[in-house]
Amino acid sequence: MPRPGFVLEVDDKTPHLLTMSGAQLRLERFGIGTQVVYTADAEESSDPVGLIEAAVGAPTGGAPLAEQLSPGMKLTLVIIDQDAPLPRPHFDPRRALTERVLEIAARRGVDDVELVVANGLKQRWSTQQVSRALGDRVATSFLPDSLISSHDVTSDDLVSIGEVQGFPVLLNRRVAQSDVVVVIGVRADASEHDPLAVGLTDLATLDRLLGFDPAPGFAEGVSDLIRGAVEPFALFAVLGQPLLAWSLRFLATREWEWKLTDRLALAGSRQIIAALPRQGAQLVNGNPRADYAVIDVVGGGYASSLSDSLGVWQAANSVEVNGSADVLVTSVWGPAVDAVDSIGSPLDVAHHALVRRAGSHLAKPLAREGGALIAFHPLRNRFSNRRQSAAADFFAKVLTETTDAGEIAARFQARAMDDEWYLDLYRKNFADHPLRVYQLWYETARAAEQFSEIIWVGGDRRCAALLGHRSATTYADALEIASGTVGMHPSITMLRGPGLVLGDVR
Amino acid sequence: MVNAPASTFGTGSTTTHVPPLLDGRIADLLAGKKIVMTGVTGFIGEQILWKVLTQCPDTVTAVLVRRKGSVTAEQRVAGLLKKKIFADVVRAAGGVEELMRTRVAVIEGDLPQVPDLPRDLDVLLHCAGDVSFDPPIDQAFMTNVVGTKALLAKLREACSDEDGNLVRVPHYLHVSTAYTAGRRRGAIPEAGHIHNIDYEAETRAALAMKEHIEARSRSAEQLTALREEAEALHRQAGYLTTSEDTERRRLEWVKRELVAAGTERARSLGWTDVYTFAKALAERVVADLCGDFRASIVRPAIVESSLKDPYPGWIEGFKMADPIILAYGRGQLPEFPASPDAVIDIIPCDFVVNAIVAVCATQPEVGKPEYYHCSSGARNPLTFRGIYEHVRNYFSQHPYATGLGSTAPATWNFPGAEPVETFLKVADKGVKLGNLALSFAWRGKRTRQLATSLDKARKQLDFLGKYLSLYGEYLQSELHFVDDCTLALHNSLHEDDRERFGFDSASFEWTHYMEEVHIPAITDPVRRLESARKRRKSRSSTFRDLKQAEPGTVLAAFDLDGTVMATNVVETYLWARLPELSPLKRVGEVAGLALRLPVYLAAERRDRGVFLRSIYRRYAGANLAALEECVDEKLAPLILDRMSPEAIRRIREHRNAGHTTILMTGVIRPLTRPFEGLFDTIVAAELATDEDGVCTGFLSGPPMVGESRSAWLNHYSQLHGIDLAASYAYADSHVDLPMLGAVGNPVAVSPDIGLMRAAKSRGWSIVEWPEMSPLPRLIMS
Repeated sequence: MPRPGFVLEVDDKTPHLLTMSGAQLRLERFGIGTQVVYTADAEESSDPVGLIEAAVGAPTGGAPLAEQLSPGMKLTLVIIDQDAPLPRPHFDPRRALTERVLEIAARRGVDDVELVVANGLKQRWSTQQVSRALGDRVATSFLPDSLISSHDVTSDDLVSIGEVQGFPVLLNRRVAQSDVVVVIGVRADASEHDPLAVGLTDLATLDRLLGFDPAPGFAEGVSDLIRGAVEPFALFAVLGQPLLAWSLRFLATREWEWKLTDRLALAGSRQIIAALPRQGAQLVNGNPRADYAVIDVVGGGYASSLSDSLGVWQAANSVEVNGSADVLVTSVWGPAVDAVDSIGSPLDVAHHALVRRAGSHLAKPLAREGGALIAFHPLRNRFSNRRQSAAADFFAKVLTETTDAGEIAARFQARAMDDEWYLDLYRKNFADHPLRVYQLWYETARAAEQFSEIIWVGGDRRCAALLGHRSATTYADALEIASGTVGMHPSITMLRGPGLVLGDVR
Repeated sequence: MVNAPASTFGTGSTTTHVPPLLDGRIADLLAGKKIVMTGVTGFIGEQILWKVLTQCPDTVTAVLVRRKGSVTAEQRVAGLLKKKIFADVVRAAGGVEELMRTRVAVIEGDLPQVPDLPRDLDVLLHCAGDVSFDPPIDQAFMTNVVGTKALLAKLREACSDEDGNLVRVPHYLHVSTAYTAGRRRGAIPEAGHIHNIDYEAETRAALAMKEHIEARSRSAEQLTALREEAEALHRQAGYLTTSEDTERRRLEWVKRELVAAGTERARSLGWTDVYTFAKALAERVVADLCGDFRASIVRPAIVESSLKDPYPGWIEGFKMADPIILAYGRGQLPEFPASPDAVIDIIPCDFVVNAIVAVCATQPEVGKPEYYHCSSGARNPLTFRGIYEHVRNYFSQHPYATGLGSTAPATWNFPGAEPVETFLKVADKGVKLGNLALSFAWRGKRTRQLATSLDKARKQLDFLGKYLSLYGEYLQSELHFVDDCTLALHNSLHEDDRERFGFDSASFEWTHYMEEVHIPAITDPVRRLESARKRRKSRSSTFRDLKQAEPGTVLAAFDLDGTVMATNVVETYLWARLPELSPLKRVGEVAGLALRLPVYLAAERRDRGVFLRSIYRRYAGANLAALEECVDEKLAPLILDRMSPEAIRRIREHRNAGHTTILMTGVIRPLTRPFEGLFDTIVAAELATDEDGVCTGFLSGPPMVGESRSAWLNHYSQLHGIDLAASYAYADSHVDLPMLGAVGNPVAVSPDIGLMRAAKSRGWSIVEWPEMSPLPRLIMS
């Protein structure tokens, strides 16, 4: 096991600490008494074959996978496509899992095999993405025969598997009609969403599931319905913290343990980013890839695997933090937000800071109710025309009218969902479904309610204002702004590093 | 204090010639008389009418006014009388109609086609004439010489019986200008100028000149030269645009030549310009044709705003010195080549008007025209340096504020004409060179900014050049106009009239007049106007919020390259072509293209159609179906990411508003496939293929560029019943001028210099639609 995460209390001997803002890296001095939460150490990945063998051969609460397969069966591999892992992995563990399952299936004489990506409202996978995640071998054997498909939430070809609270729930046809479904995913956060429910159902169900005001019990109902209908076998690889290539390795290392090479690497990367124009900097330093250690592979029934993997991840990544702070400070590092853009669009960035990072805690939140959130990010108003057209319009047209989630849901969501251009981009050009940006905003807005102030250090003033937040030029200014609500001597917790930590607040 | 030139003669105020004097109040002298006036819609005429109507209650007037377009003379006079200065007299008369019925008779007519004049007239006051200093030669003679002759002929007719015998002797008052003295120097007496020019012959020659120059402008050499000038600017936009510009240039050339002919003729005979020359000849006409009339000629110098009446600073339009004063205030005149000691003979308008009305009341001897100078130079001279100091004082106290702050007034050293002319020449060359360099520059915001500042410099140089050539002579003139007769007339004013009708040019202070009356009077309205214009400018004119339209009645046409998408044909060619080639062939293709690039760029400068064709030749051998597949699979993301988000948003707004969206591009059709969801119609270049579906490298029709786009739009709108005037077009380059010109709401998007200039001159909106791809060009996947 790697060294677990811990909390550093800043004293007068603490060196300047690393903060990240979009693609920028810098060293910042933090006030005495600040609690800095370090993630568990990142480690190089070792060969997960043994773990996979164990998960496949001795799954919890069930027969080994090989025994569940027999010739003539219809087998579907469902590839879970959640947010994690970012930064992009060098080597995607899903590839090893998929290859192993396909191997077993081939040995057992199963011919009818298809792969379905449970991408939900996220973009469908392009051929490049398939090869990147599942490897060339899988891609070249399955892609030409169209045996790898991404789930289309707007498709007419979905199968009803029952009703929840009077609403029909539709599921991907291939998955619903398979004899055996093997779910393959990774676990790199504490998310409690059911990846099959959000990945393989229809648009209406998704709207109810993650909409502005989801009905209580609906999500559980959908999950139960799916588990009843397909009874999948699941394999989850639980990942450790991202370990970056040597030039950025210092990101995950503790400042006082930095070697000369780490210092040089920091100075070098800062100079490169500063000297080059934006696009050049992105070429050199953008979209780094990381190595993730596979801590464990959990196999067995879907429901138990889901909770087991969560348990393993929590055990490996939780850090005990002393009390909810008045001010929560976090960096937002572009490559951890967007797989393509090294800075990230303001909407994704806000979601990342408020939901993924500030929301990664056990029962008690990292910041107290009514506290302040200070995040480091330039909030650059840039969106990809192809992948984020709906988000760009949401930012430019909807947020300028209102930031109120309820009003947005009532006034704007329906029209965006039916917009032909967005749907055209979703179907043909690998863009997210337009509903996704709305759901991300509902989550963001919900998370923002907890804070009385959200302040972006170095953030574009206009963008911050559009989000309903504030911006400050420096960290000190941000604290000054926050002092109006949290006083002159607030308790501060800072989340350090590119990886995600689970706050076990006592 | 400047010594008045009059004092150097040592004769005091005695005059050698005593003009007819006034022997009573002017109102009494003019009571019961009828004054017929020309030029009441002009600056001086308007105030004369006001003066007569307000100060001479028992005098009636008749005004000779020409019709202007659809506005009749009656309507013009009614409009004039509704002005604020006439408010009192209109109220006293009981309304404009009543006033016109009782005291202002309207005679519709024009010079030289003069209508019949009323037979009961007593005074004919002629103060109509060109105000421009540089009219074309034919026009100058037509209004001044021919016009005066015709007017006098009609006057004779009105005062004669059927047999042509004079039955009454009218008083003809001719308003001329002091500068009819021409290039003479020193003291100019109040008498006819001595010369022996045959005005009949000059007039014939001037009128013939028009025919001659018109004919010359149509000669092959001239037209070729003009066409080449137009082509240098508009070749890319197409033949029609070029020919339109050629014709405009021809008309301009004709006018320029006529003006030059006038100036040169005037100078060859000793006058500064054709304006003063023709006026001088008109004076001679008066002297010749008024043998049995009473005649007076009033020669005002430079007439500027009123000192007192109707209110201090009353002025209509811009007079001679005003543009220079304004330009100085704006900081546009770092230096001006005038002699600092030249006397600038300015006279307030109300002094001129008072003098004219007083002259109306005199009874000159029959057959002996009287001359009066309305000028200040003899007894109250103001030198050029004096003006400069007043203007500088004024602008030091009331600086001209622009957006970024106020303009500091320049300090002039009066270096003389030569350095300034050298500077002008050098600066002119510099601007030309700059423009040439810019025509090769990469298109972009910076280039546009540079071009804008060059245009501004060009405008300033033109302004300076124009005023130097126009007024250079006046600003170095060493004339001084003797005004003894005028002074004698002033001195004979009745006690009661001194206050109301006084016109002694030595009776006021220049500091008061310049700094408190005149300069504020001309700068204040301009400042107001400019701030209003600034407010207007901040609202874009043709880029406006879209209104819901009946589907199928409004279209929105978009250009692709540079407008909607930040690419060019060469780049898209490489995108489309490279993926299907082997690595070695790719290198070869890129190298081959790079080698030919100068040829292509030269073609682009010449004719975009030729350029497109030569690029598309390279598609020879490509499989069309494979190309389409490649676009769908590989290029669509690239193409979409290169689009400007604002463009997409605007296109979608148009669709939501029920407009028909049209993409017009010279790009080949397969590359437009990703846009099919955005546009109702896509007009693109079609690659011709052989029977195997392999591209031949030729197009199946001419590429849609330049004027063919406007023709397409016109035809399309006719077929579908679309209202082009309510439609929109968006484009980025000069080639697209015809397409933009075809619709009512054209918008220039991140334009090149040519289109930027065209858009500015036509008042089209200019918007920036930057592409905002988060990805660098090279790593797009």
